[in-house]
Amino acid sequence: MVKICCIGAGYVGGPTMAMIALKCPDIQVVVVDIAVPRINAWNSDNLPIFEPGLDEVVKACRGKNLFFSADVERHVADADILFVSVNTPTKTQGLGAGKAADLTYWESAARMIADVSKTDKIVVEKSTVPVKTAEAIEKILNVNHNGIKFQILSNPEFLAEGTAIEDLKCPDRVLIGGRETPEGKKAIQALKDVYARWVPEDRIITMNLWSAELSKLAANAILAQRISSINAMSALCEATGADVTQVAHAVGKDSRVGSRFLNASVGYGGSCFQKDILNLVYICECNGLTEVANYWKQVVHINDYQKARFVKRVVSSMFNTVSGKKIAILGFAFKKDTGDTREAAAIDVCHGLLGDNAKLSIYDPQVAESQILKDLSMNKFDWDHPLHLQQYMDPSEISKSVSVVSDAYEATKGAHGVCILTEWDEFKELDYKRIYDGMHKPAFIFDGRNVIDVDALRKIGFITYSIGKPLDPWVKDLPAAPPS
Amino acid sequence: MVKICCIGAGYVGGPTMAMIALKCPDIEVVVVDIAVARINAWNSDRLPIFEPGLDEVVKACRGRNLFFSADVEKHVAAADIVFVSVNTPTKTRGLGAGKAADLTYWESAARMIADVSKSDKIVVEKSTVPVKTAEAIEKILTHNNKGINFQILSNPEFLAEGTAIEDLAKPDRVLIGGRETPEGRKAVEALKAVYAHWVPEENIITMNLWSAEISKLAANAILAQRISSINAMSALCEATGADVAEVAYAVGKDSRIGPKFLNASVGFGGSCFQKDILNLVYICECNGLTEVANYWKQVVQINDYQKSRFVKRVVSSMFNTVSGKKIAVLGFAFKKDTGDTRETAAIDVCHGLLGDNAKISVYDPQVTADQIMRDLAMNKFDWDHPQHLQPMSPTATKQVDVVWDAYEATKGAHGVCILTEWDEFKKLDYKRIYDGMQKPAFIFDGRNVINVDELRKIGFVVYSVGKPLDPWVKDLPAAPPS
Repeated sequence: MVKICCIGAGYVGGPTMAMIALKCPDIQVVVVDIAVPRINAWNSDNLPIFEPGLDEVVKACRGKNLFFSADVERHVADADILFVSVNTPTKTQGLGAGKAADLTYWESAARMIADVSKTDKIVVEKSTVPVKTAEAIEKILNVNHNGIKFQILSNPEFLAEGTAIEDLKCPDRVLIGGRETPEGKKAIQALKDVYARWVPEDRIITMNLWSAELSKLAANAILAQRISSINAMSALCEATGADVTQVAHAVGKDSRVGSRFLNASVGYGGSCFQKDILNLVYICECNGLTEVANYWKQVVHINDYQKARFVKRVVSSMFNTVSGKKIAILGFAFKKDTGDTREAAAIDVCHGLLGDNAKLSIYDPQVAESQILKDLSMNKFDWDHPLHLQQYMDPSEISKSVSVVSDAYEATKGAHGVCILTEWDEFKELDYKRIYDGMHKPAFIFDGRNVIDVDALRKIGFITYSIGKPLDPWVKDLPAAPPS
Repeated sequence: MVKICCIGAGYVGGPTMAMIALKCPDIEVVVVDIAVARINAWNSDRLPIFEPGLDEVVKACRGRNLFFSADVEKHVAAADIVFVSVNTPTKTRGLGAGKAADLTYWESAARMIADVSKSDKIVVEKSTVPVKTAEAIEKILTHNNKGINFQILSNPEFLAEGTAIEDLAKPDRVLIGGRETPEGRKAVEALKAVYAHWVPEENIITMNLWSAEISKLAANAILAQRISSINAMSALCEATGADVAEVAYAVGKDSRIGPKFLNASVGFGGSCFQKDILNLVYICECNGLTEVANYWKQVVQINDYQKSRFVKRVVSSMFNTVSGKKIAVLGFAFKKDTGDTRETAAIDVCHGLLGDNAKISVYDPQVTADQIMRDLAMNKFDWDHPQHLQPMSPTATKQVDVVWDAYEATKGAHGVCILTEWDEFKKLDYKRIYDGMQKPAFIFDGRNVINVDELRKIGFVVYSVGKPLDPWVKDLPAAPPS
């Protein structure tokens, strides 16, 4: 019986291994982690992560051919195929700080594997890692091998939050990269055999190791670039009177471009886009490819520009100051239908408004108050490191100007302005007349996600700004963009 | 009977009007141009442009409801709908030189329309124009209107060379932009009714005037960006040992991205991409949007970088000099199956090699020697202006010779550069080419058309954009200094 062990019981490792166990009843799958509470949670009725459909998959296999254990070394020693799915946060200090991936966890996992292994193993990179990580890992393993043979494969994950189980069940593609040697090809085939149980052959793409590592970063960079491109257009639309929604629709009709990921907004967020691009930029710089690094950096620049532009619109519309004014923030998560706030545009927008001394009242249907306060008092990139290493501003400072409420009407009551920062469906159905009546006049609304009906809100009396849409006469003659 | 007149019998106007005439037998279509020779060609058996299927369409309608005439004013005066399809070259001097569109031809067309019109007209922008051109045209028309009503519409074209008739017969989409007034909407409806003769309703997108103008530029900018993105990746692939074809395939499998327009190469060319992006950049700058301008500028910069990187690879591989060496250039057109050389990457690559004193022998199955010599002697952007305005600098062309056969081009050469992806380059007898060349024999594939492994087996030192490097090339500098 083939034995698979996965190091790291996190967001990627847990669901991926559960799916393998479900689809391969003849394979034993063990997920290990040094964090005992996390393992206990996986063994309980309350799984540590929420994904639609995950519960059913775990319950169908747990105790049968799917196990969760904190006894890392024993299971690693037993396995034929080892997935490494540990975190690779962005470095916050030292060489490459703010850009390079921190491989501390990966390196110690590799050293542990070398230490405890007594049989040949296939080691699979599952975490998103910089190109050439495999080579580093290979070196660590082969210098400490005790006569054991290791084959390194790269098998990047492509899961989106909220659809992880669906993505695992019917993936667009599975990438497997390996060495172009007979042993490397054998290892690729072994992993391919696992996926081939449920993924059609033509969707399993095998390639060289570096191509697989780079493909993940490339895909995320190109996706983020689509968003930055339409966001760049949104600024020009505002300046010329075009409507970015019409432009995006027309552009997306071109079958060579395609229609998805072309929604203008206050900016993309999430744990991957920013991180992967900065990582890509760093690798380019390390290889002396300055022009290429600058090219990809622009994707992040436009995202930052878009957030700064939004803050500027808010402040300049409201008589150039929001000091002491109550601003309602509707939505804090980085996208709808999740409670995830990692790299959410809302964090930077709130910081911008707080910098101008605004009083914020925040409502998000899914994000907890403690998370919002933590995000607003944390340094950039710290979210990706273990809790005990995160540095905070004094949260009592933040809570003086920020309050988190449980209702959109409460958030907007007595406010001078409203900012919509997540595209939650419920924000389309709010009673905006009621909101208007409860606000100071003139009542401003700034829609960072194009969810509201601009005309209807103007009829109520709101001064309305919606990204990339023809401007309200009120806003029109104010400066269009922050000075560069 | 509705009467349509199109000013400008060029690459866009001719085929578009022919298709309208074919699909709308109840509409009279007249294409006018001040260039009498061009009109005569449209009325002859040898049309002035070649497009598969165009001949048949023109022959089916000409003399029935499709006419070509040099009597511009008479037909403009008689028309209900006037398409303006004149050239808008990039300015080569003055404010916005090298970036802004030159609207001279457009403005004089507008003034002529205002002069000769005696009845209300719908005026349709068909040329790719900068955003807000419609507003300028509207002002010219309404300040000279003598009580006549003009409605301006924007109806950008989306034709690709070689498939123009196909693109017109089954467009992905037709954009019609107009004023959001009752008269504007009526005009939009009138033009929509023309296209609705053969285009399904859901593919006809109506929008405001500025959105339609921007959409054309945006679509081309985003397409060119896909190419620059994969080209940027190709540099990193070479540095790390990844294979850009594998990366592009994996990325294109993501249904949110799609597989098209992701081929790494020595750079994009053609008359639209560069021009439209520079135009977009200029508009952003005029509106104070520096960051946005810089963002789009990067797409052109990577394209230039890719060309200079290629030249650098050639020179550094060949012992850091190509002075006096014969280099064969296979392919000169900006893409295969066309003789079009506008903004082709080959021009910049050849200039780079000539700058290092190489002797160049060019072969392209479709491009004439005349055209190649003219392109290499011309200043940037001049191709887009009338011929008598193109200043030449013939000194550069002494080192260039154009031949009619790939084997002759490569005979006695030190290196071969493939710059267009012509299918025939895949089928060349590379053993024969190798035998005829100086040794070591170098081949630099700017379009990923050759089989790298086979050519290495023959003995070539091979470079192919974005592919794992030949040991020979590996330790040489990867990129030109910035």
